[in-house]
Amino acid sequence: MEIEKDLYDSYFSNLIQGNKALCMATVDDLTARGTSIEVIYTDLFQRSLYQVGEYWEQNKISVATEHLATAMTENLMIRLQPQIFSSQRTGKKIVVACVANEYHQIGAKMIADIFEMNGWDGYFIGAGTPAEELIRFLKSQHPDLIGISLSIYFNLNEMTRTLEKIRKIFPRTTIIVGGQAFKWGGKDVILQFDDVHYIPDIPGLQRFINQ
Amino acid sequence: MNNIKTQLLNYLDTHSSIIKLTVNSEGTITHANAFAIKLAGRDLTSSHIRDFFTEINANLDTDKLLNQEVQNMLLNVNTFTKLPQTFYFTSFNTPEGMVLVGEINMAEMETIHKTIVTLNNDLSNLTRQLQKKNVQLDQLNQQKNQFLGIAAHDLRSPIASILMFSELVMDSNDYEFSDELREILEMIRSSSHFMLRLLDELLNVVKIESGKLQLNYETICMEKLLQNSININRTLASKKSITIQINVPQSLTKISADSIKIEQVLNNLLSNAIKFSNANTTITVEAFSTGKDILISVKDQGQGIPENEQDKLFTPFSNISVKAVDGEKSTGLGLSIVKRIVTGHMGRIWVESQEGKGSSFYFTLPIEKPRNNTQNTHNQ
Repeated sequence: MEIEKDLYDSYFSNLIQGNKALCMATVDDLTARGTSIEVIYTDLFQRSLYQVGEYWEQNKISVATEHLATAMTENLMIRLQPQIFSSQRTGKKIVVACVANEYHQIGAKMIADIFEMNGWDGYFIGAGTPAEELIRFLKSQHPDLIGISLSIYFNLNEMTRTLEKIRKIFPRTTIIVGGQAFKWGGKDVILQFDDVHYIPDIPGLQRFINQ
Repeated sequence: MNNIKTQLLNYLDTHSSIIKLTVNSEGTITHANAFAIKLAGRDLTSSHIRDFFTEINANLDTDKLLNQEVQNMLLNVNTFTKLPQTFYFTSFNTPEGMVLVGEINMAEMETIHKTIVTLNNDLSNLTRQLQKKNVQLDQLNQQKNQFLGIAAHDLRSPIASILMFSELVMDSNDYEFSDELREILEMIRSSSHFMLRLLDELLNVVKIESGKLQLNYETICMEKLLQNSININRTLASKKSITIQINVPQSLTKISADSIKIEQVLNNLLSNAIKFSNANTTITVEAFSTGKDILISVKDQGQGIPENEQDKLFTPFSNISVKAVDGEKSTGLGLSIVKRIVTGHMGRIWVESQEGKGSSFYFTLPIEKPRNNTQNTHNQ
């Protein structure tokens, strides 16, 4: 882990207290020191949001604080866009979406951003995307890759239905899936589909892109 | 079982978003649930069912309803948002009278939900594309500034040489020139002088646009700075018999600012005032403290600026109809630089002008260096 414990702890404390300017200063400081976006995404944003989720489960923070932390993280991600969008283009496209009823969108946005940094055009079409909507968009873009994010395990059936529908119309487009939901299981169900790959984390995603 | 039925009826009466009315054979409402009362905005008991439907702007033949000729219907109802929503109404008979139940039409809600999801998805994608374009535009702007900076910098040296040599030749006693040749040499000198100024201002703009406006803060006496600036511009003013008056209280507090940059602001405002004023007029320079800031003004009795052009004044190369009285040249960059210097100090600048009467340029500067100034700063 490349982010020091003290720095992470102060960032997390500022995040749950809603100290936007101080969180911003941490991110600016890290980028000025040359910390890579992958590290900031994984060791700062992802780690802190997982911890926010745990705090909420343990009733240490309210749902309002959880939403505030999420919104602040999304704003901080926008701050990194000049670096994210400045890579040399490869001409490849990925469309990233969350399945219907799935409203946790930061993970999906991060996937699109990592692809952007690798020169892909990353299209993100929002949280809670019904299969029909996703297919409508895929037909308009014809991407090289499709990414689907799943945070809530109970939406696994919706993901299966979405994959079935995509496969009928796009039998040969590679699909990657990932998200917090899979820590409860479901990988076996997803991997029954042809050319569907489970990506556990951002380093795994980077390895997949490099291949 | 009866307990569940009672609880359900109680829920319908108190908490649900369903309209429930009990009506006797004459059409009088004998019971209305909380949602119906909230919708009507009044107690409905003893009212006629016709009045209720009129109030919620729903088109229903209540006589036919009471004669059992209408049982299931879709009606547009004005709800609390004042926007019509489609309700599905059903009526059935009970020992207490006719019960009329209306609930929001779920099919319509689903269509609305789908539309919102589609719009949200499109918006998410468009937002991302827009953010991407913004980053690309910003990069292009930086490239433009870089190019402009290099071009201006590289052009500066040969033009400075032309200026220097033309002055050298003109000042030399080794040559004799005809009047025509001297006029041509003078044109070369003044044009290269103007081009050099234009390039310097371009370099200034590029520096500021690239976020390289560096402010060297020091304690300055504004009265001294104003006096310096007036002295520099006095020769120009006296050529047009323009008087410059200064009105600054002796007790004017010192401020923390970049003296060279502020002098640049003052010189620009003063030389502009001279350029755009007629002969035998007066320019007044004033400064006073407002508590946290000092306010400086430069007032002329010149042509004034049309109201619809005043906003454009501080934009680079803005084309305005007012021209310098004696045809003096202007780079079109001065006021945009002035604005950036003033706002870089966290101050404000504005103009008040009346055509034919003159213009007053005002700017403020904080007395203390603002703590939250994100501009590149150095303290001396």
